[in-house]
Parts: sequence; structure tokens; C-alpha cells
Amino acid sequence: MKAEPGARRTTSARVPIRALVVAGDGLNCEKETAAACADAGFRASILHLNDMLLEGERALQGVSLVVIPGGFSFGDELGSGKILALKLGHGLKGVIERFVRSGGALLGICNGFQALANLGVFNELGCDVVLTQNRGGRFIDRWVGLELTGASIFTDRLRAAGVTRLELPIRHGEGRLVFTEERAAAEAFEAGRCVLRYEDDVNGSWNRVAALSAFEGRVMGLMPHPEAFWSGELHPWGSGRGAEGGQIPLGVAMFRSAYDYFREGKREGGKERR
Amino acid sequence: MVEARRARLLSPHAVLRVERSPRDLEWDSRARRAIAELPLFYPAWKSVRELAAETREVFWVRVDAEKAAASKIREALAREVLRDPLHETSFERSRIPASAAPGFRWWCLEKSFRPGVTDNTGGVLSEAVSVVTGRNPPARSGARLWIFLPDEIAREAVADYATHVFCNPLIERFRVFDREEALAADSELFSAPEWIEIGGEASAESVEYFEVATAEPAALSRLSEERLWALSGEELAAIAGHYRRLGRKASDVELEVLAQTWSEHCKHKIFAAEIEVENQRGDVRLPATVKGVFKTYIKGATERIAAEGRAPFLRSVFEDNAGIVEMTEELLCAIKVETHNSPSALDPYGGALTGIVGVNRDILGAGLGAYPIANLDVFCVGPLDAPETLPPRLHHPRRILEGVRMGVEHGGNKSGIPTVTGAVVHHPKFLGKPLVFCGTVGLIPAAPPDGRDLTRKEIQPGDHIVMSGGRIGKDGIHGATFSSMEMKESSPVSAVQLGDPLTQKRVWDFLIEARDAGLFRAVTDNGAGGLSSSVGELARLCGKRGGARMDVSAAKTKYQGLKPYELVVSESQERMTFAVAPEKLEAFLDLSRRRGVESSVLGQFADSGVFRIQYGTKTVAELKMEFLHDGAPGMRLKARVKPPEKAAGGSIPKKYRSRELGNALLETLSHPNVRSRRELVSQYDHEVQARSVRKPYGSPGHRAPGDGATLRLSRETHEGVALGLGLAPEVAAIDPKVAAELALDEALRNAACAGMDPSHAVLVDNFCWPDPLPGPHNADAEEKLGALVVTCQRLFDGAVELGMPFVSGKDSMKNDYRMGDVKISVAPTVLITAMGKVRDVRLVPRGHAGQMDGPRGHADASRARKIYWLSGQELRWDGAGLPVVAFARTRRFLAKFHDLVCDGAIAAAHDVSDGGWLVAMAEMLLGTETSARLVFTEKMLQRLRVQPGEPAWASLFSEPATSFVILAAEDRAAEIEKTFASDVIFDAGEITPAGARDAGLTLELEGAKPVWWRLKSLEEAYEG
Repeated sequence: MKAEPGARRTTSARVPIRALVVAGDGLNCEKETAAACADAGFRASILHLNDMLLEGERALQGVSLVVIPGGFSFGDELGSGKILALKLGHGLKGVIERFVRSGGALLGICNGFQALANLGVFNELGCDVVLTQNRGGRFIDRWVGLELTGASIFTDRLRAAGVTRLELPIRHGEGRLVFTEERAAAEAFEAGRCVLRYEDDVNGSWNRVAALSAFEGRVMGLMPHPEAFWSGELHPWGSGRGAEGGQIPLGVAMFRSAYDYFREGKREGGKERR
Repeated sequence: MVEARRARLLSPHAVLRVERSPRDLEWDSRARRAIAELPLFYPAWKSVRELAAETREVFWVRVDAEKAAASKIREALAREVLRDPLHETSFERSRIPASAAPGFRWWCLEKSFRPGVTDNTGGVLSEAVSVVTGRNPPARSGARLWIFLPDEIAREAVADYATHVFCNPLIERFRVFDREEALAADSELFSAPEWIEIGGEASAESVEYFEVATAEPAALSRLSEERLWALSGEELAAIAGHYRRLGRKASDVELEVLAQTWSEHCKHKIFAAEIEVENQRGDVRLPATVKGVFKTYIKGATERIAAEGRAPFLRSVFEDNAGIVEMTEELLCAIKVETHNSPSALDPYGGALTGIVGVNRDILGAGLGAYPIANLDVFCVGPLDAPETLPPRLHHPRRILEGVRMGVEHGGNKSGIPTVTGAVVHHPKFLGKPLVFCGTVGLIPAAPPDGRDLTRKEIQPGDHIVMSGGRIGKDGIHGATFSSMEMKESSPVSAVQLGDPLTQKRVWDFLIEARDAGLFRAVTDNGAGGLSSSVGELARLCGKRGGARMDVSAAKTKYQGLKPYELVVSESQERMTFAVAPEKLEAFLDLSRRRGVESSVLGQFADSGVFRIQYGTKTVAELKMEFLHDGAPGMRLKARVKPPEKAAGGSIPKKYRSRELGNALLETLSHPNVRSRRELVSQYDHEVQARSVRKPYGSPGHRAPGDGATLRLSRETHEGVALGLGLAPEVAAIDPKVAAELALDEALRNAACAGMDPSHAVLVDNFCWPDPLPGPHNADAEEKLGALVVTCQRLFDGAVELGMPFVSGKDSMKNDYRMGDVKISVAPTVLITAMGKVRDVRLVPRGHAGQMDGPRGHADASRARKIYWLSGQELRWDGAGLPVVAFARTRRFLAKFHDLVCDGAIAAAHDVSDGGWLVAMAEMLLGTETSARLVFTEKMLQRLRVQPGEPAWASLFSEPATSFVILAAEDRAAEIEKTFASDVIFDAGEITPAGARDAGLTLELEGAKPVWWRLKSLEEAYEG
């Protein structure tokens, strides 16, 4: 269970830190997600799911961060993220789990989060985690306010910089987060696993939770789209427009936080242990 | 091969029925939504109390009778594919709701698709089972709704609800059970239905031959009507003459191909017709004969502008699937707008869904493939409060609006294309047929690394014809010819189909990858007319004479038994046709396989001058390319241009009339054609691809409406593209000339607010007209055609004056409903889409007041900001009370406006549209926690006044052309005043920050008591 810290952290400044974004079968945010990874410093590439299945373990060699981006994998039929998780689970047979256990980071955004939940990545929280239809039964596109309420490598640097809230767009029909056991939910919240919380109750999620982390914060799933806020003018009202003063928009800052985690691992002299 | 297939079909099989029920009502959002929407979609039960509902998902999987395999599949379904902690899966009886209170009864409605209808859920279920078990059993999906109703509601009423709300009987079947029937031991509810396979046997022998050369004209006309060919008498005569010369019979495949290729939908015969014009108007100059409105006015404008060197950015116009324009040094934009009115009238959801994914394919097939980046949609539907009982076959406008909305939601969202702008217009003239416009913009690299020109399709003799994507079925047969007819009770259901966004997304991913790898030489989509159009059109590009030979028996099909002609004209969705060089074929097919896209190699292109279609080795059609594409006789028509109607004018059109200013604003804000569409729009994804700068609704909480849309094009530069839409169908009935002017003006106003550079902008025209061809039921055909001529002529004037060429367009000319004596024709409607370059997306003004940082940011939010009301026109009004538009003034104004935008002088801008000046002002405040104080002197009011005698405040609701409400960026007021000194500019007041409780709009008119509206009450009126 315990991960080996720093296992995936690179050892030399010249070695790029790689991010891999999965595509295909109806996923559709791979381009902007890879671009956001690149903005944050990663060397980012996009890999089609079918190629990933063919390559197996090799696909993740030298990769620090794997992102399953947003979209409508398998048209959201039979439950969002469900068939994508089946395909990943059967096609890769434990490759992803080994990757995460050995220190890799995994991010699931929107449909990616739904797939991670179906893969059972959050089972360590002690119960099933389900993302089901929004309480209102409708797809919602809107920018929402989010509080930082937990820990993950994707948010730690924001918190360290004093950020307590941010705004990002949500775009989902099935984003209502449900824990099948109340006690496990409360414990997850206490333990800081509920990384983000909606300021308003937008979809009926338990305790307004929008993001979860696992594997000591190296794995995060979130419904809002950080990759959609990579430049100030994309924010639909004024408060996003600070981008010229040298700050990076808070969406990209989440990828940057993960990048810094790996980069500083190097600075600390972490060694490749495998 | 055929034998083996038949053997498999005949093997014994069993059907597994599986159901999924929510474990708790809390997780049953579908049921909650069905109840919440019931009053809207089924007002007959509006007063029913204690409504309750539960839903179930139902699946049928056909398994081999062999036990081991069946149990393996069953286990996969239970443990993995359908497992969901919040639902229970059941192979036996699913949960039946507990018995009802006395006086009430539970009813169960079950629906499933009719055989042959696209079933996306079933398709994915089958694929999911194969992921787990390696077996790929056919699967189908259905749904069940349990609904709790008072005893007095009888079975017939429940069935009526099922027919009108729960399902669409054109594509779905339903069954009704009450609780007792469901509980019965042998209840059919829990039996697996018979698995119906459609199809049968087909071969080259199923081709019919007709002796057209010698047939009587009347017999030919009957044949054309029976077969839905929609060929006219002249066209049939031309065909008869052709076969007389050939001295042989015509095959049904040949006649079908001719009917498709010559259909109004594909050939635009009315737009090409020679029109004799009787002009009764003094204010419009028209020639006595117009040799094609398209050639003269639409293409004419573009050619004129291009010849004058004013449009160096044009790359491909009117010849490809979409217009292609240079937008930045690196990127070209392809744009196309389509209509899907007839299918949407029959099945609003399926019609709009296939409309949006269909126009996406136009973009995928533009040049060597463009990457779709934005969708737009415009719906014209009847009033939401239309009578509940409508003539046969008509859906209620509420149902239509919800259906088309959901179609665009699924088509756009599931494809990953943001829906960035649109409009909804209500008018009684759209009761007979709704208008559903769907548009898409795509990107093509201007200079790819390998130096190819990606806008050019080139085909060499010997290149393979490859069809990729979906399979062919009976769906969509005769869509092109059907849309060229009026809607009747007998309208064919095969013209209705559902789209499959997942398959199309896979095709898209594959297509772009194959394009970048240089694996094909040409591509086009399979839309109207299916293979007959796609291959027939591409064949023209091969050598001097063009030509192709294809064997349609090689095409992958959804089921067996499709006749050769069906294979050729089926409009089954999600298919693209490619021309692949022989040396690239293997790589092309290999990539296709790896991307999960099915491809069929159908034949080869040739420089033979002949389009030959085979079924196996037998030739079933052999058409000369020349006759196919140029053999249709031209039309000659008459048009009468009548003087405009004398309508009662006035600033407040009757629809908004109120005696008192305070209420007038609230009433106008809540008018169906003005009020907020946020609820509808927020169900579309307008953020995906992370480009949307100016969005449908800005301001905190997305409350203030945006105008047009701005998209950032690249991450390297700040360049972007602006889109604007305009239409004025309600004006068309009064004066088509002004309607054309206002449609163009509105598109430009919206695009200007979105940052459009008017010197780098293009237009798209979409006409939806009532039938202008003479006929027994069409007494005023000549006037309808007259309105068309005037509209086109005015658009020509505008485009040429503004230097904005038309680059693409479409016309739909049969938008009438007739049943017995009832005839409803749509208002003649032209939709103009403007697309222009944005030099720096960071400078695009906001649509709302709000946080008062100018476009460049870092402003002092505590300071007041000036409000200006601007008009590029003189604010003059014609006899009918419609605004007078001078395009030269529009041109000068837009240039100055854009200069100020580029200068960062305009912090926010909103155009004056439906509802007029004061509504535009109020809309900018919504959601913002700011207050506006407006001060108008008597002199200013005089200038705004439309008619003497009306109250001074009434003019604040007038709807002039080329008018805007803007907020000055900090310290830029002087510059704005100087720039617009020669235009109409009102220093209208100022904006100040305010708390949520005090925010509001104050209006001080000289000589009257100030009026104050609380922002909250404006928001409530607008959002309803």
C-alpha cells in the first residue's frame, strides 16, 4: 500500500518530466489537457487508448504523470466512465496500479474522474465512490467557485501560496459524488481526501465535494476542468484577469503544482529506485 | 461467405433480458426530471397531485443457445458491465413499486427502439461485453417508467401520454401495463420479446428496370411520387429523352441516383432558376430577368469583392463542403451552416442530433479535413403557449424545443465541440415546421510541415474509393428528396434517423490522424444522397472527364437484405468517403483498424466519364458523368415584388405594449423572444477545447447574455475568431427588404461585440423559405419568390458595401405543412452568420458591466464608468415603423468601433436587439452587483423618438439597427466621444459598483420623476 516516495522523480535537470494524456473512444479534452501540462513544464504527449493497450507497461516507461482527460468515452452509455474503466482494467491488467504504487501520479478530469472511480482507484477510502447523475437530472455547464479543502500534489503548491479558493468550469451530467458509506465519507473528508468543494450545491454531491485524492495525494479525480482555465481571458467574468502580472491562471497552476512535486523531488536528490 | 452468414443467423439463440433499477429513489434523477417536466410537456395532467415515478433501464442481449457461453455473458453483465453500487441488476423480475394509496394506481410504460433504428446504448453494451468476454453479442436497450396516477386516469390516457411524451412512435415502440398485470405470474413485462431481425435477402437480381424512354409522362410522375423521387415533369422528360437516346431501360439504381443528384436539396434549382421579375416597388432596383439569384447576388457579391482585391483571405468558396478562409498565418477557418427542418419536424431529437453531427461532417470533409472547434444553433419554433391540440403529425412547440435542444446537447457535447452561440425565435408561422439551423467552424493548418495545400482535393485514376465509419442501413433513405417536399401525413419515417456521436468521434480522430500522415487524397462526407452524392461528387475530380466504378455489395451494412439502390442512397450517418492512393491503402486500412473505425473498399475512381455501380460483378447502374451532373433542365420562374405592408409603427412593437414605464421594462425582459435562455444554454458545453472567450452568458452566475462568440485560435498568438448571427423572420412578413438588412445588421452587431475585424470578415447565408414554386395549393408562389429576390438583392448590396463576401450557404425551399385545408408556411427566413478575425482576444469587450476592469485589467474598481448609447444609423424610421438602414454608415461605424476595441477603449459592449435600448442596458447589469444611473434630457429623447405622440419613454424600447450600449474603459471617455462625434452618441450616464442589495437601474428623464428598478427584480423578470 505504501508508495515509495520519489520513485518516479527524475534525477537530472536535463531529463524532462513527462506527462501522458490518454485519448480515443470519445474522450475529447486531450489536446487542451496536454497543452496545460506543457504550460506547467511537463513534456506532454497524447496516446490513443488502443495504442496504450498494445504497448502495455512500455507505454508508461519514463512517465511521471498520466492524465485521463474529460470527454464522453463510449458516449456515456451505461454510466459515465464505466466502459472506459472496463477497457483499461481488462486491457492493461494492473499496469496503472503498478504505476501509481511505484510513485507515479494519476489525474482524472471529469470523464477521467468517472473512469478512475469505476476502476476502484479510490477504494482505499473504505467504500465505493460513485459519480452519478446530477440531482437535477440535467447537464450543467457553468463556472463554479471551489474551496480548497484537502491535500494532493495537484493542489499543495496552491495552498502553500495562500490560495484558498478558485473558479473553474464544470461541464457534466453525471458529477454527483456519492460515497456508499457515510462513515467512510466523513473519514475521507477528515483525512483531507476531499480536495475541492463546490461553494454552491451544484449537483447534489455529498458534502459538495468536487475532487478526491488517493495514494498519498498522487492520484486525484475532479469534476471541474482545470485545463480549461489556462489563460485569463477565458474566465467569463472579471476575476480571472490577473494573468498578466506574472501569475499563471489557477487551472494551469494545478498542473504546475504536480510538476513542482516531481521537479523538487529531483532537487532533493531523490533517486530512481527501480 | 453468404452461406456462412446465413448459417449463423439460423443458429438457435436465446435472449437475455436484464434490468437495472435504482436502489433508492434518491438516485433516480430521470424520474425526478420526468415529473418536474410533466406540467410542461403534458399539461393535461397539470393538476394531478402526488405524482410519483420510478425508472428502470432494460437491456436485451442475444446469446447463443450454448449454455456455457450464455452464462459467461450473463456473469459479465452482472459483475462488471452493468454493475453499479447505486443500482441493482436483475435477470428475473425487477422491483415493482409498493402498492399505491387508495384511489391511485401505478402504471408501467416500457419503450424500445423499432427494429433497425440506431441504438447507441445497445451498441456500447455489445462492445462492453466483448471487452470482458471476447464475445460480441447483439444487444438492444429500452427504458421503463413507472408512474403513479389517480384511478380516474384510464389506460387510453396513459397510452396518449406515452405517444406524446414518453416516446416517439416513429422510432420507438411502447407497451403499457398496470401494476396487477406486472405482478401476474406470466406477465409479459418480464418476458423477453421476440428478437426481430429486419432485412432478408438481396442480390443483384433485386434491381428493377423501367422502360422510361417510352412511358407516358403521367405514369412517370406517378412513379416519381410513389418512390419519393420528387422529380418534376421537365426532369422526367429529360430522363426519358436520355434513355431514348441510349435505347435501353433505366435501372432503379440509376433513377435513384439521378433523383438524389438532381434534388432541390443537392442541386439548388430554385436558386439557379432564371426568374422573370415583376417589380412593384420603387425603393428596390431589380432587373427584369434575374439569371439565378445565387449566381447574380450571392456568388455575384463574392466575385465582385474578390475582383476588387478586398478579400485576399478567401481560400475556397462555394465549391467544397464548406467555405474556407485564412484567419491567421497558421490557420484557416472552414465554416458551414445547415438546416435540418423536415427531420426535426418528425422527430425533434433525432432531427437536431443528425443536423449537428451532419454539419460537423461537412467540416470534417472540407478540404482534406478540418478540425471542428465550434457549433452554433438557431431554432425557430411556434409559441410555447400554442394550443395544446394541433393538426395531425405536428408536435407541440414545447416538445420540439426540448427535443431539438437535447439533440444539439448530445450531438455537440458528446463530440467535444463547444456550442458557442445561437438563438431561439418563437413565431406562429413556425408551428407547421420548425427551423433548425446547425453550424460548425473548423480549423485547417495553413502551412503543414510537409508543404501540402490541405484545402485541395485531388484524385488520380486508380485511387481507391473507401467508405469509413458507420454501416449502411435503411435509415435516412430519401432524406434529400423528402426535404424537397411539403410535410404530409404520409411523410416517410425512413427519413428519420438517430445519430451516433461516439462512432463519429472515432471517425474524426482517425480522419485527422490520417490527414496529417498524408494517407488520403480526397475526402467528403456522406450526407444527403449517401454514396450516390459522395462518390458521384468526388468522381468529378478525377481527371478530365471524371468517373468511378464501385461495387456496393462490398459496403459494410447494419443488417442483410439491403437492395442495391438502398445501399447507394441510404443516408446512414457517421460515414466519410475517401480517395486513397493505391500505395497508401494498406497504411490507411491499418490505421483505421487500430482506431476502431470500420472501412470498406468499394472500388476505384477513373477518368472514364462514367459512374458505374456494381453489385458484385453485375453492373446495376451506368451513368454518364455529364448527364448526371449537367443534364437537369434549368427552371424558369416568375416573381412578383409587392410594396411592403403598411403596418402600425411605434417604438414598442405591440408585443411588448404596456402603459407604464416601470412595467414595460419588466414585461419586455420576460417576453418569450427576449427572456433568458440560460437554462437551455447551460446544458450545452461551451467550454470544451478551452477556446471560448466571449461566452453565451457572462457575468457571475452566467446571467448577462453575450452577443456572438469569441474563440481563441492558437496558444501561441492571441488571435481569434468572432461569430455573430442575425435573423428577423417577424419583420419579413412586413418587408423582406428590411428583414434582410436587419438579419445582416444583427449578425454584424453581434460579431462586432465579439471583436470582429470588419476588414477581415465573411458571411454565410441560410435561406428557409416557404415553397415558391407554383402549384394548386400555392396561390402566392410568385410573391414568395419575389420576397426571395428582394432579400438576395439587398444582401448583395450589403455584402458589397461592407466588403464581406459570402463563403458558404444553403437553401431549404419547402418549409410548408399541409393537411387537408390546413396549410402553415414558415415565415421567409434568412439567417446570416458573420465570421471575422479577432486581432487580440484579450481586448474583446465584455458583454456585462460587472467588475470594472477594462479589457486590459488592473482598473480601479471603485470608480464610476461612463455609459454611452451609440448608433451607426441616423435613427430614422420608415412608414411601417421599421428602422432605415444605410450600409455605408454601417461600414464606417464598424471600422471605428473596431479601432476603439483594438485600442482597449471599450470595457463592455452589448448590441441593441429585441427589446430595444433599455433592455440592452438592463441586460448588461444582470449578475454584476453594479448600478447604472441614466440621465436623458428632452433633447436626447427627441433624437431617439420614433413617432410623434408616443410617450417620451417609449423610444427607449425602440430597436434601431447598428446600435450599441457600451461602457468606456477607464479614462477613455474623451476618445470615444471624439471617435463617434459624427454618429449618434448619447452620454447616457454612469455605472457604479454597488452591493447586491442596492444594485439597480435608475432612469431620470427630464421633466419626470426618476424610476428605479432593483437589479434583483430585473433578474427575476429576465429569468422568469
